[in-house]
Amino acid sequence: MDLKNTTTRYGVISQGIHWLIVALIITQYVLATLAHNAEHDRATHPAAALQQLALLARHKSVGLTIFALAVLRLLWRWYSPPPPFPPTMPRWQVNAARLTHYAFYALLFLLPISGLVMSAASNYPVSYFGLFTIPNVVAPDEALKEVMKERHEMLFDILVVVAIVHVIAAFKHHFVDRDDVFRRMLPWTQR
Amino acid sequence: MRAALFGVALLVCASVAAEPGRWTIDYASSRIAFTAEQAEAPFDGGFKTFEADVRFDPTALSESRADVQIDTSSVATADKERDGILTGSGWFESEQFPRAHFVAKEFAKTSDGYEARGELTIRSVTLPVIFRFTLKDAGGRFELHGGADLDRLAFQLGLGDWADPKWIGKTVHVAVTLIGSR
Repeated sequence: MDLKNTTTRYGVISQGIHWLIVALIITQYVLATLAHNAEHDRATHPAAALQQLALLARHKSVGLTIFALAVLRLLWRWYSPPPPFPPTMPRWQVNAARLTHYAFYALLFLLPISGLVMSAASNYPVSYFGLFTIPNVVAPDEALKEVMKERHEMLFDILVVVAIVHVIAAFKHHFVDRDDVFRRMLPWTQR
Repeated sequence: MRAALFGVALLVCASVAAEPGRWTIDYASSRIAFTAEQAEAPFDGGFKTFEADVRFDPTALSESRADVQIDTSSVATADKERDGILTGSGWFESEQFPRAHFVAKEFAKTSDGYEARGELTIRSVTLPVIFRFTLKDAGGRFELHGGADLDRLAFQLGLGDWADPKWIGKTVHVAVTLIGSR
């Protein structure tokens, strides 16, 4: 299998980053949910506050990882363009697919950025898995923190909607149109 | 004999006269700040309210004194949630222990400044602390910059669930800026 994308398939790099980001976004949702639950348990279990801190620390590190992977994926896309859509696809579907993909890139940048601004606004510099620290990107500001928290959650809701559209479209290509669009992103299928 | 007694009396008078006066602290420009570590990243904070009775004179080290009271409920880290945790149970417990207290009566010259060897009380724990500082004197207006590294666990700050130094660093660096005049 090729590293680079071909005219009919996604290569190893694009596939690898695609599925890694999927796995990491699910991880993010799990970490955020556990941290949210810990926040509610704080009154009754003092240990929950420390758990919340640790869970959010990992959530932030994974978020930075997703941001870096999104940058890589975009650079790779420019270096090695994705396979073209099937010529049988109607114009509106091509446009919808492009819009969905651009929305994904925008969300993969905006989600980590809003999270990072949220952290900085509440004076929580972010450590990347204890390896290095990202200094505060903005000065502490409680109002800004609240705004960013809302935006971060809203962006995630949008991500879920876009992901549902993306998955339904992929299945439609596979089961209804019976074309290669879904299969060319799967590592174990050869054409 | 009389002359000798007179000499001693003079010396006593001289030393009394040399006791440094209390600094007038400019609280608007003075700071008690700290840097601590949480989730493997440093963050900073400070105490908004404190009272410093400083009687320090570099020419009269043995008579110099410092007594600083810090209002623990005035801890400020730019995050209400964290401030609430810090003043609450397992940390400063400000309702029970409203003040931290530093007293120093021993001062010495060091290669690059001075050090105050004193005792710091936080909660109900009193431990010896060496506070190192430098002093700039611009025509009677003093600018003191100093600091000390404290072991939060030794002062029983954040015990139990909070004790793990991986998530909350053990060492807290305290940085003090005092601007004052005599």
